[in-house]
Amino acid sequence: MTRTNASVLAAALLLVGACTTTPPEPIADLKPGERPALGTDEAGLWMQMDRVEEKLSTSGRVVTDPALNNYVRTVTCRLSAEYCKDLRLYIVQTPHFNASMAPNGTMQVWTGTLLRVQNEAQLAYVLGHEMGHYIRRHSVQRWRSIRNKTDSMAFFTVTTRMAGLGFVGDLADLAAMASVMAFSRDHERESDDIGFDLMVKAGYAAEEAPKIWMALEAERDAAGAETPSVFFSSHPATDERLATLQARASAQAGRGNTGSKPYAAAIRRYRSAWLRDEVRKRDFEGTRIVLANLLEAGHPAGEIHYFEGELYRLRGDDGDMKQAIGSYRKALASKGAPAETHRALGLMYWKSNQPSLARKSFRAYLAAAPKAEDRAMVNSYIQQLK
Amino acid sequence: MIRKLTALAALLLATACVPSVVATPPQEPIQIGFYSVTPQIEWNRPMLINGEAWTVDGYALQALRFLEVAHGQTLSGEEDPEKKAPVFRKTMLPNEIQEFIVETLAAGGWANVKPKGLKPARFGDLPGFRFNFAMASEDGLEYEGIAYGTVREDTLHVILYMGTRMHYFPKYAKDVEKIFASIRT
Repeated sequence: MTRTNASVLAAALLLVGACTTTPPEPIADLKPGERPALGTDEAGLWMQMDRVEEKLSTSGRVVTDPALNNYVRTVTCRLSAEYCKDLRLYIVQTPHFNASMAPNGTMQVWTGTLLRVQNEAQLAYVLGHEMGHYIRRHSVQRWRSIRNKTDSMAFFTVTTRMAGLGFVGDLADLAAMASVMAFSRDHERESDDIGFDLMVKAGYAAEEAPKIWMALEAERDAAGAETPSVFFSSHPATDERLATLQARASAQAGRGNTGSKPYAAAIRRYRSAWLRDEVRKRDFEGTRIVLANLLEAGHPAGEIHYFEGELYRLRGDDGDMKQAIGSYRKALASKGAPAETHRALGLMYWKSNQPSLARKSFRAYLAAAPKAEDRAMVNSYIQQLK
Repeated sequence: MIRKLTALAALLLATACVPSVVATPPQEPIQIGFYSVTPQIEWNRPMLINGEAWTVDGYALQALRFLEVAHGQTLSGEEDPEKKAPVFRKTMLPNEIQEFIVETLAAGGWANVKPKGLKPARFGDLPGFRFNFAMASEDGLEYEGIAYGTVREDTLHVILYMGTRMHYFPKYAKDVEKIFASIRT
């Protein structure tokens, strides 16, 4: 499906391009409420993006929960009230960091992003950065530049780079098509500046901006080269960009709000489900970094240690059972451990030939979750362990 | 890796290579590996190289699939060179088998895969398990399913019934329950 979409889009853009022979001219910022004039290559691009958006809007992965959507939308509108009405937000349930903004105002934020940003200020920076691409019309600039280099298909190289990501690759294709492929480093610098200015103007703590980039780089390095980063595939990162951002942040440090509490409150209901998606990726080292960052951000230690245990249990290498038991016990000694911690501990005790501890853990699970869906099964475990 | 799981997910509902199709005789037991089931109604039963997948109205609408998964294998039975696909382990308890199936479906592209009601069940003469699940396709179409299985000689035997939540899953759900009850080992 997605490859077909990419081909259709490529063909359409090539046709549009064939009708235009003038070299690219400097392009003005998109004004609030502005739509490109009919018959232009930009209008053709928007029309294609409308089709991509139509496909996205019916995806089973779009999170429709009004509270979460309202929250992210409120942060977006706080950054720019005048552009806010032109943007349509889609929160997509996918455990990878990615955010994108299509030239027609389709904004995607993946749940992996919401799990990774530590506060509202960091989210605001990411959203502001994407708005920068939108306001500066980087997509159409990129398209015209590449077309003139007679290398139109390079426009779509990010799609190829996503090939190893499976179904996420399909979503990545959709996101990448929506953002219209990899931006240039100059575009990234511009968007860094715009995102930074918007977040500072909205009253957020400037020093939070470089932190999210640094955390992503640490995760990418830990995960290894075999796990491509969806976001970095379309947003090339450089040390120079990070250094510039850090310098600007230092100059503004200590003046704004992090928005840590409202952010933690906004994601509280979803965090556990997103963590479950995260451990299912089986990217052991990368997820360990994510968990450590969540712990540092003050999320409940009991929940974080539980998922650390899940990470070991699912990997199942030599010694992982012992590590999992250690993590589950640490979770239960901390605040916020879910009832499932007892059940997971029971499973590990049973497998490590500790039946009385297993029985005790299963009983603790049923006491902590008296309406558990799997109550009958866990009761049968207890009977078998007698 | 996940491409292969996507292929599995597709296989669970759509079977690409169907050399021939026969109808199951409703009341005649059919041997599936070490056990037999009585189909109850006429299902379309393609003669597949690997496993069984039955349907009445088409695989995109409902499918009854019989899977056999050895220790260390993925649900599809395909190799995963990246070693990141969920695999069945002979020591898995029913909660972990449920997780294995749910993870495989999620990795295959199904959205919001939510299991519920895991409980013990007799698989013929053997102790087994069953649970229901709900999920959505990439296009947002809602599906429901039932997993019914057992572990015998280090191999997972599981029957998956899946169909669209509206109409096609409930259409034969009672017949599928009778099929589960007809299992003879």
